[in-house]
Amino acid sequence: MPRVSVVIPVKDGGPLLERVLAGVRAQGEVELIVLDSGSSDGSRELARAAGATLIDVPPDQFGHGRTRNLGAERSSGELIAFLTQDAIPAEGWLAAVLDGFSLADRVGAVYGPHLPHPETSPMIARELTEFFATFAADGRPTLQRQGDPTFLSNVNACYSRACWEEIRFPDVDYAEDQAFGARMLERGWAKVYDPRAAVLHAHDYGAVDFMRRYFDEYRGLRDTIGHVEPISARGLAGAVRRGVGGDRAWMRERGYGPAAQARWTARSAIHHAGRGVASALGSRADRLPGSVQRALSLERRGGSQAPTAQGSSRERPLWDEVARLDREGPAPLLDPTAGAADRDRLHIAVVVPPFTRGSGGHTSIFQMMMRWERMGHTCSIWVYDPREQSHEWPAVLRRRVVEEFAPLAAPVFKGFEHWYGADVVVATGWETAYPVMLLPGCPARAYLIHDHESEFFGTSAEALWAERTYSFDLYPIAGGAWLRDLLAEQYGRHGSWFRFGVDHGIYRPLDVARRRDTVLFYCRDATPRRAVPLGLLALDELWRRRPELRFVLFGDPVPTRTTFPYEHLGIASPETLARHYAEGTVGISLSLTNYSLIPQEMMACGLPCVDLAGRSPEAVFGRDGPAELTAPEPLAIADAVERMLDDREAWRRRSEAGLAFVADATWDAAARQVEEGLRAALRERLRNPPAPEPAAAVRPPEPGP
Amino acid sequence: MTESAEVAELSRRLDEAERERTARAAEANAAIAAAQDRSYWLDRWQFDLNAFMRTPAGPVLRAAARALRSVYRLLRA
Repeated sequence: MPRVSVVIPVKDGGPLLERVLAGVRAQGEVELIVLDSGSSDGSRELARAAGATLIDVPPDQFGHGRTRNLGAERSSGELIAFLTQDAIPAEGWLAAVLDGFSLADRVGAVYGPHLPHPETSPMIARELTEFFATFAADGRPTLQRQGDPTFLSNVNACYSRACWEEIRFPDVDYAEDQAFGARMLERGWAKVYDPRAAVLHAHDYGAVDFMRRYFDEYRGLRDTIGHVEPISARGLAGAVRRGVGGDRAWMRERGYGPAAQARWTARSAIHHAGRGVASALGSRADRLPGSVQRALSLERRGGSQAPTAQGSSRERPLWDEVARLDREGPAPLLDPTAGAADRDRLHIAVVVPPFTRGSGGHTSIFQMMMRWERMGHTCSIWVYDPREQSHEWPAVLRRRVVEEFAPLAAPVFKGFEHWYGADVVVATGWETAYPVMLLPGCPARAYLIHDHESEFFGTSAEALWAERTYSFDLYPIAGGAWLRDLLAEQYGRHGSWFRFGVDHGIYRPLDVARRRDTVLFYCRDATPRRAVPLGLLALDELWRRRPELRFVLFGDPVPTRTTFPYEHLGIASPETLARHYAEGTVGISLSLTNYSLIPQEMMACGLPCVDLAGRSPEAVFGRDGPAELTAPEPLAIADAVERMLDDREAWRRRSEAGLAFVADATWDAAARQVEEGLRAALRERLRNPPAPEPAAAVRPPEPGP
Repeated sequence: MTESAEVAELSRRLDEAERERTARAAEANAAIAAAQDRSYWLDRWQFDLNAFMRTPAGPVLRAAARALRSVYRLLRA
């Protein structure tokens, strides 16, 4: 095992990258890893020529913390050094880093100064030099513990593997190193600043870009360590005066001529004034609209929003809908005309909660809507967002639907200010059921139920409100037979149901080699019903039994803290997931309520999936069908995964059964089933009296073997 | 016309009106979606151009644009 691994994230590294790679190689024997995010300027070739291990990081999955964690996971050195693509290690850098770790016990990180290039502007050169001088006034290595400065920079820092494994970089947009520095000291680790462990690195931008860079930097500091830069006119004037004076003294000491001094003095004034303003704005970015943040950011990032207020007022708009329904009752339904249910073309208005990329429920809704449009129906989308989770305007929401879910022709509205009725209005989540009951101008209302949502809550008003929606006069269309039966048994509701589809154009067996060591886990930590802690305990057990296994976690943008090493995919694109499913050995997707889309998508790629017995997966897949079902216990799940790893015959049987099971699970079929449900909602309204009639309800064929 | 024939005729006309209404809804949906596609960047920047044009700066901008356009046309001619 090499003593040191050097990890460098790269995107179009430019001419400096070659010097960086040569600088690393000149230090001695190290493992060199380049994490490339779609370079097209020859950086990949440079990395290969330098003997680096090249790891592809799709640009949409890059994150400063997340990607560096990936690099650390893939590295094998006991020390992991991070450099940026423009930080050239100075002579003696590696030796100084190694010395730093021997300075005391529990040294978790060693870092060094960023030296200016000869052509760096005097403002930046002075700032860098004076800033790093504060860490080691006597020019000797300094040990820093809790209470000392938390500063750490991944431009030039090296970590002990034990420390990185304990802390890991948070998945933040900026300043993951600062957050790491603060946390490691809190946890009793020490860090060492060694002036000899230097890199040549300085960002010299134009005046405007400098401001934008500072905006990003201080926004990141606010997000990670809560720093807010003070601002006042007098304070700013003083800072500019001091800054310009300091720069002029610096230039005099270094022999700048009068003309150069005059030129740089003007730049210096602009620089320091801009810095004061940008840093104050950056650390108050949460008060600015996303578009303004994006305009001020060098990274073009809309960035942090004001944190959503927690507590009682957060729910107020939804409470209003609940109260309005109590006070006013449902809006009267229009009388449907004879034959309305059989007209070839309907206007279907679908009310959805705000969405995030990768949402399974929205995938299902939009995939089916796209097919309804192909059948000749016209659709409209109404985003109901009582908590103001989404700050995007309608045209942006429409673009996101088209690009992230399905190419729909439907317009997207936010709220109901412009509501103009429909043949059928469809609720798609418990919260949306309340406004749907209040919307006028419709002959029928339906409820596309993806899960038994009242189970998502503990004892609470939300649980009661969610449960209440199942008794509303909405025609229920359940996602799967398990949910259909639950609605009938618990609420006496009889409607229709549909089977979740699979996009077979993406999820299919691919021509990639199947690995024997890879376990994929649907780790959507933000969704408690996916039982992530249970799965993590099972993976921990597996790792203890078989440390050579490779774990790949996906489904959540934030990496999960684990006791075992893993690769974090975040919310990956369908194509990326399909590739991982096609090369993985076993998948784990746990469902405590209704089953998710994930097991079917794994099966469609030939990947056997472990899920929980005695719940909806058993009702859907059968006791001994395409999924390996097991008790909801960590050791039992680990055992089930091991069966799939060791028993080739059992693996083949599950894989083949999975492919057969999903062969006819298509979004076309699901769209037809739900469309029939919408027509049934209209038919039910035509009956007099309009009582639900189970025998007449649309029943698609029973799925599965 | 008998009563039943009249009912049948009214039903037919009602059905036709319903189809017409859905067709109009489809046209409206398509027009709104097209308008949203055109206004994507304004929405992305959360910039309400109509509100801006109602401010004192609006007419100034419009006059400047007109002046530039006339210069451009003059040069093209």
